[in-house]
Amino acid sequence: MSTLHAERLLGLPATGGGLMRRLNIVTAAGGGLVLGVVGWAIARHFMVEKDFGPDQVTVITMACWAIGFMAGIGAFNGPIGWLRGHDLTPEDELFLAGKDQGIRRYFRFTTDHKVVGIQYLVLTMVLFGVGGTMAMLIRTNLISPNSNFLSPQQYNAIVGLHGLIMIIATIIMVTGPFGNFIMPLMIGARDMAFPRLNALSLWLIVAVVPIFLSGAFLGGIPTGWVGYAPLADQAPPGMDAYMMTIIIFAISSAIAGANITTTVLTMRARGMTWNRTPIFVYGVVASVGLAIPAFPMFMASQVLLGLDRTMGAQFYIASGGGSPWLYANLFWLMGHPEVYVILIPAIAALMELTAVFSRKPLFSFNTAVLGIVGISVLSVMVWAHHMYASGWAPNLNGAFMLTTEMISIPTGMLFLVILGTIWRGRIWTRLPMMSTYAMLWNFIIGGITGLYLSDVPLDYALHGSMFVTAHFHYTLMGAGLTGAIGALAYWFPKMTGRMLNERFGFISFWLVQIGFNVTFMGMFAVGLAGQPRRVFTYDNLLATGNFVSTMGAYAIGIGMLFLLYAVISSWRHGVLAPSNPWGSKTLEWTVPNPIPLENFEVLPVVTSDAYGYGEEPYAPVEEPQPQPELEPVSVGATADVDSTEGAQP
Amino acid sequence: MSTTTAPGTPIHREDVDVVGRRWRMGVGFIIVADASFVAAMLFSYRYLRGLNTEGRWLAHGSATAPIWGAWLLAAGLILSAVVFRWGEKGIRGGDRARLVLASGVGVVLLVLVAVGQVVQIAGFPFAMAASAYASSMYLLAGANLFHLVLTLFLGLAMWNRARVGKYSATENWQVGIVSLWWAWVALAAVLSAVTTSFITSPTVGG
Repeated sequence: MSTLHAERLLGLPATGGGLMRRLNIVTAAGGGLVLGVVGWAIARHFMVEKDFGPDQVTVITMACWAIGFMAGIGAFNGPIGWLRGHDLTPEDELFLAGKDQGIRRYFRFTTDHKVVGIQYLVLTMVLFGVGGTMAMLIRTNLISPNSNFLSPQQYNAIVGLHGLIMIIATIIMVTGPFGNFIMPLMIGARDMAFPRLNALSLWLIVAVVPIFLSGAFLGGIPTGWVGYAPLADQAPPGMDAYMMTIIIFAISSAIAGANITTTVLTMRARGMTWNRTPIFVYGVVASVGLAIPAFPMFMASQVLLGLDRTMGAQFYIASGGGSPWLYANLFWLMGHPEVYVILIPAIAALMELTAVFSRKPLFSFNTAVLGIVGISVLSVMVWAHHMYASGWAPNLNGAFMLTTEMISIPTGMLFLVILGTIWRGRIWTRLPMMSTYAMLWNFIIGGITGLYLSDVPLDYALHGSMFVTAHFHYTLMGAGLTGAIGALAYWFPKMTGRMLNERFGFISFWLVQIGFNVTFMGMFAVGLAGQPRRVFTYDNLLATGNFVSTMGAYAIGIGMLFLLYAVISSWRHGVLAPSNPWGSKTLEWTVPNPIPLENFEVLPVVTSDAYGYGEEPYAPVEEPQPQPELEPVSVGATADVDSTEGAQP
Repeated sequence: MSTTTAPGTPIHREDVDVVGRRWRMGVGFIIVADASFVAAMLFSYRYLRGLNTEGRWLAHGSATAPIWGAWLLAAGLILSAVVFRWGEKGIRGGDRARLVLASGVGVVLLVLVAVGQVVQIAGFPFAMAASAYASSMYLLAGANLFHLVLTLFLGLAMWNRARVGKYSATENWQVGIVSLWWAWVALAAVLSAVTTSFITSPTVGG
């Protein structure tokens, strides 16, 4: 059940929970280690001695780790109790929601959507930190043609791991933190539809982090993040880490997708018709709606790969009747919608904040919705443009070129909506708004170079080159990550109760954006000149372009450190934020800081859309001031508030 | 966004039917995701059979699994789903004993089908590495077994919870959701049986 009962809010202490009270991330790690070691020992005993390879042992160990971790965090308590006929008591549910647990609730199987949102935010930052460090290593190796900073094997392994980590991080970077923390508030709900599934989807990803990092010590992922067969069939056990990561991540995505979609469809406040639903909510639903059917395809591709690697199956082995094209199809059936799983919510977040900082209604709301729907529909019809050069169905290349180029139309609609909103607006240039400008610049470049690559003859020339690498970084990082950073700057006051330090934020912004364009413009140049991607050395003629790219990458790295400092220092010591520092009109800004456990004392009834800016005389929003009468709040403080205070009868 | 408060809004408590409808929709989405996974596996079978790479989809003279095996298992699953559905209708009318009986019989049928599935896998006249056909057969049989294990868990829970009186004529949405899942699993078994009924590749591999 998604909400707590009234009697629970009338003074009952959170004393329930039983075994659940003793479980946390430490017991989870312990459970994972114990079961992992047991699985490893059993697998070694029964398999290696019977002439099986190391892949069976690796897969069984990783699966046991994941099961042990999830058992240790308490993910199975609910289902097993349910099987036994023991439903949760009100006290159990209060405990699960994190009531009165302070910072400890962030290290438990907590169901409150605000806690899950903060957990996703921290997890995303950790993933970006690890993936970004790997990017620095890659660029350092490419600073000169024969730097030998990394060996070829190390280089391949790091490139694969960097790609996989960044893809996972970018997939969850908006729908994870903001889809969980902000979206339920935005639609006027008290929590997600399925709070325990919400926690489950988060902890599955936490469980998978050690698995894919272990890949670095198991020979790496020499296939790049795409994991193409039959190379993947022959790769070292690091590939098993890749496989297990994708399988578990796909399960997490399906659960999260079902949860978020159901929440939006069934829990919007009364009066919140589709025309009054904020555009960010559309973006989140489109993203997870695409993920629900797409990621199981990816999961299936990895199950088949796992059977090839561990049981000698022949799915991708041509000599046994299999086909690498099968892998390519299953992978890209997920792989291209996945680009929009990343992009749509990021751009939707920017559309949301652009209206706020332009003090104008969102320009042509219906066009924005049509653009999101159009991209979503077309994104499942373009997958084979990644396979022009593979020789698969050349007669279909023309059709896929057409659908790919068509997708620029709904994408252009989103550009028009943002430009129309900015046009003649009373622009309030704060840090979140800067992300909108940066996204417009970067995504134009990413989009137009994408049109070049969708063209079959040109793709034959550029396929597998650094040009492609630069193109997708312009879309996923230049538009996607920039949008996520804008969303962070915009919603930081609501999520933490404090204002983000904009001085450091602006320093970070300029370092990252200038560094980004230097890095990837250089990469376009060397790619056009013929430098292939995923190769650890290159011709001397390409030295200048690569040196410039590496310098740009260092600037990005330094800029990200500034952002990290701004986030941590603001979170700990920042100026206390008023409940609505931007003068926004969406529902999340109507709740106080810190946010009560169940968000709304009385559910709101919506009577107009969220974009009525400019309908009343403009009055600048006051700068936030320190509010000494408020107690300092802990991270995402929500639990220590008596939510019955002020409740209506 | 202008708002008002709703007088008399039932705060902090939701009607059981609202929760039930919400869960039905959520499980529907989970089924969509699972259907996508199943579709990917069925596509793999059909694709490799159609492609017949190097004529090795099914090497000449290789043994094949009898077609009736998958159909027999699918029939058992359909029967169990129908029996459980009968129990669900019973609890809607307030007949708790019927739900206990139906879920118990459903579980027994599931166990029988699961044993049959294991026997089928153990008795395949080929190794997984023999050909793409062999690999695909093991894959689909394994997926069906996975479905069976999940459904067995749900069936056992239904039987136990019905036995201890968790469901009534007014509160039975969980039973409806399990029935929905059960029906999907039976349908997936039928789709798998249809797919594996076509064995020989229509293509001459090159």
